[in-house]
Amino acid sequence: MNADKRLFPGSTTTALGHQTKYSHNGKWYKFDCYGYEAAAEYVSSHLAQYTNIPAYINYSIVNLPINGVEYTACCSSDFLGNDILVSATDLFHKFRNENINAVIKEMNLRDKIEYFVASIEEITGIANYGSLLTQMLEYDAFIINEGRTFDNIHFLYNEKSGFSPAPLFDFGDSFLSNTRDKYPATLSFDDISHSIEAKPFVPDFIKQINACHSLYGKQLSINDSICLTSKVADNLHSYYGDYVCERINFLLDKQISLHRDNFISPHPSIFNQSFDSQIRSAHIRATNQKHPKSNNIPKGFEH
Amino acid sequence: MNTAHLLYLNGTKITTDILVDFVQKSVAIKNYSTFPLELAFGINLQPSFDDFLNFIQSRCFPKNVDRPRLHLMELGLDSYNPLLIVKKTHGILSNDHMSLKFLEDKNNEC
Repeated sequence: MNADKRLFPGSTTTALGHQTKYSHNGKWYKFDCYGYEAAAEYVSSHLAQYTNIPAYINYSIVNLPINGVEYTACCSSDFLGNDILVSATDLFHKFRNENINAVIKEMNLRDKIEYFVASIEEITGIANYGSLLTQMLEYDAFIINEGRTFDNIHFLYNEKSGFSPAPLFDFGDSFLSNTRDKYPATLSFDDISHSIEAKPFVPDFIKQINACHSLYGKQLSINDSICLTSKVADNLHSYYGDYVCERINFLLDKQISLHRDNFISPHPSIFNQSFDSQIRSAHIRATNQKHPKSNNIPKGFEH
Repeated sequence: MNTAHLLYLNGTKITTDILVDFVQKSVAIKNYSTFPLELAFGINLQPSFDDFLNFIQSRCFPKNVDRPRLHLMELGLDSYNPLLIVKKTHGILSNDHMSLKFLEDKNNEC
């Protein structure tokens, strides 16, 4: 792609989020802003194949030049086709003339979730939305995704088929990717772990998913062979180097220990099509083989 | 500008006709659809001037976007002004088929 005064002539963008993003020629691009968002998006979409999440967006990492300077971005296919993408925020605004954050502000956690789910089901006609929401929030807790605001809960709309849940995406705020303002590389995990904040209902991931479980039951299953493949680790390493690779692996190991309750042994019918025995046998803890520990890994992020 | 006349469109279909008076800070609309998702103000039939400003903002890239100069440079602008931005972009975004058409401005100073 050429460095140009216009990054993508003829491209369009969205009104949401702080990341620079473009849709162009059937692809969506989101640029790193506060740290390694593209790495987080890429890894999270890769890990989703080990879960029973029915639909999610696959991302790759690319470098794109802007005015002669290379920036890292994640890239996905444009999955919209003729559908439109609408956020929960917009649904409440257009169909209820409500600011969802303001409306639920004074409610207790259980009431917040029930109000949100009942409203979404009424507006969209989507059945059992509580189960889908629970699964999404469980996965967000697993990947430490701090970006699940109501702007980042999406639905598809098509004039013929009506509303449907959007495939899962927007993982850029996972794995403590904000190294610029919130989780700098100079601090250990113990120093920064108290700053982790869930969204959209309460800042505590565990409280949020416990409340969802009490209403809708556990929904997320994770295959116990989950890991970063050597291909994913190689890609991460080539774009971000040792530190980000090690940090994401450290966090993934920590989360696997924390979320053991969601883990089950492989059963072919439960997991996504990508999860077959051929791929499974190829999954190797890549960092142990390919990427020896960096001498620069801060204390607390070491394996 | 003192007043503006805008059409909000879904593809080629007009969904909301908007008249804005920037001096009186008043807005008058006429909807041509009953489906809230394609209306500029959804079910709100009496939008305020702030509602109008929020609507225009909702058709732009966010003010706090990373590398704002890059976005402004692409549009030939030197500051973040949602009204000027949507005049350049026609309020077109990646996630839907909506757009804005400015029919007339009176006293063309933004």
